[in-house]
Amino acid sequence: MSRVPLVLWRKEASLALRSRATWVVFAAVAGLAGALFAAALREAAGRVAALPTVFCGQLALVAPFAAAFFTMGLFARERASGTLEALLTAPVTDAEIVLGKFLSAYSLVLLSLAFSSLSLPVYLHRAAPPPPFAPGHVAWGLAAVALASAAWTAFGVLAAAAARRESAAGVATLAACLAAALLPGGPAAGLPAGSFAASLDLSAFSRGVADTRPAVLLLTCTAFFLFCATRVLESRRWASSR
Amino acid sequence: MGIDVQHLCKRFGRTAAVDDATFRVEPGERVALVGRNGAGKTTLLRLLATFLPATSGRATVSGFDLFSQSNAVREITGYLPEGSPVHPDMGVAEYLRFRGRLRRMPGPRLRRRLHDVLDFCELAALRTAPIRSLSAGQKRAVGLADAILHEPDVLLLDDPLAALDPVQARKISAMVASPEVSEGRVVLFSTHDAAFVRAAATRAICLEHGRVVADARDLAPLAERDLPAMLDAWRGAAEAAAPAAAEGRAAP
Repeated sequence: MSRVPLVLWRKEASLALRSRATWVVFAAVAGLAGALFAAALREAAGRVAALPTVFCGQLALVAPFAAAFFTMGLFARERASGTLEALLTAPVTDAEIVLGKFLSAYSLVLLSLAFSSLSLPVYLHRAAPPPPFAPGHVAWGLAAVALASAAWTAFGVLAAAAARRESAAGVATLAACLAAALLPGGPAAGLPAGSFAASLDLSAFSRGVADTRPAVLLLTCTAFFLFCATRVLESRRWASSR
Repeated sequence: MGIDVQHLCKRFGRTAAVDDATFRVEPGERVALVGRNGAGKTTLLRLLATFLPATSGRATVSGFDLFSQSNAVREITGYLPEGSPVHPDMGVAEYLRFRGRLRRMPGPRLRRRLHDVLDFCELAALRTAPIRSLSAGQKRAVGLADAILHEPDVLLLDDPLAALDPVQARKISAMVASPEVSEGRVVLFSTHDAAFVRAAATRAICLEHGRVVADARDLAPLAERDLPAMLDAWRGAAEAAAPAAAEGRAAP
């Protein structure tokens, strides 16, 4: 396998971690997740069995914000600074570029979700008495959120490759991912991300039931969006000459 | 094998940025692309660097077709884009290491070359400095170091002296003319600077409205005349030679 995507991942991720804006976003997403978690807990009072679903549902709701922020500038910033020309004239394929940029954005999204997850241990520490809690169920729920985040990040990479402006890519990603998360009609009533949980069967995941169908769906979506992003980058390369 | 360009055209809508360009450059030649702003120099270099596809015509770089073997062309080409764009938040050596890894250079070779190019481009003392803290000339040197890092067969430099003060321009000019950069490889650079052409080029190709209007191998007159005057003189000489050549061909 080519090392190029890993080289790009390392460069992009290390540059992002040096940026103050990245840490502000980590803090903002974690704060939003904590606030949503607290609000959802108040609403689900007495239904402690729903704790993993409540917790993972809120993470699923904030993940689009992280995905939108960490993907929107992937191409626009390079285009604006002129470094895209140096990148596209290096012996790398469009697929390697897309994969490298996806890996860097996805690792930042996961890091953001990891910080946001701190609200659970904080809650468990402060709750008196601590609710019965199955760590395995939360782990499954987190795995589902991580899979969903991969699909959203891939969509963000596609939007970033297609849009000329960074803001347009960010708004498109946020709108599409939040719409997917908040589609009405979900059975997990009372949760802001309930419909998303239903579509993913997140609640089943967080009850410890592993259903491979949503996982396959999300992985397929991720691969499809990345494939489209590669094609868009390829066609933009040709279109830029006309 | 050099560069072989045959009837290359590049159109942006109705405008021909490069119009039926035909020329050959052999290894060891250092060729200056000269012409006024908008003559098509940058577009021609971008075509040869595989950043833009041509509308028609064909070109090979070291025997590799520009369009069907573009990745092979990128492997053997070093390219310094206009303005030498580099990541400002990276350190000098960090950036060059990234570019070397992107070009799949093995570790020991990359370390050796990194040491060599940092020395050659007078960047050794600045290896950990963030690129944003460098002067324009030093940033251009980083771009040049990137272009020669992998020891390419072909070097394409888009206006390497643009916006540099005379001292920095002399430094970069001397680097381009030096054997470390030019020996055994094709060097094609665009410029508006007559002194740079005189110091670094063995030949000049003049472009006007995307067309090659003259291919000058005698650069001595540049010592006495500026580049616009020389462009006029070369174009005039080429126009005078064209009917004579046509008559020669028509004669039995």
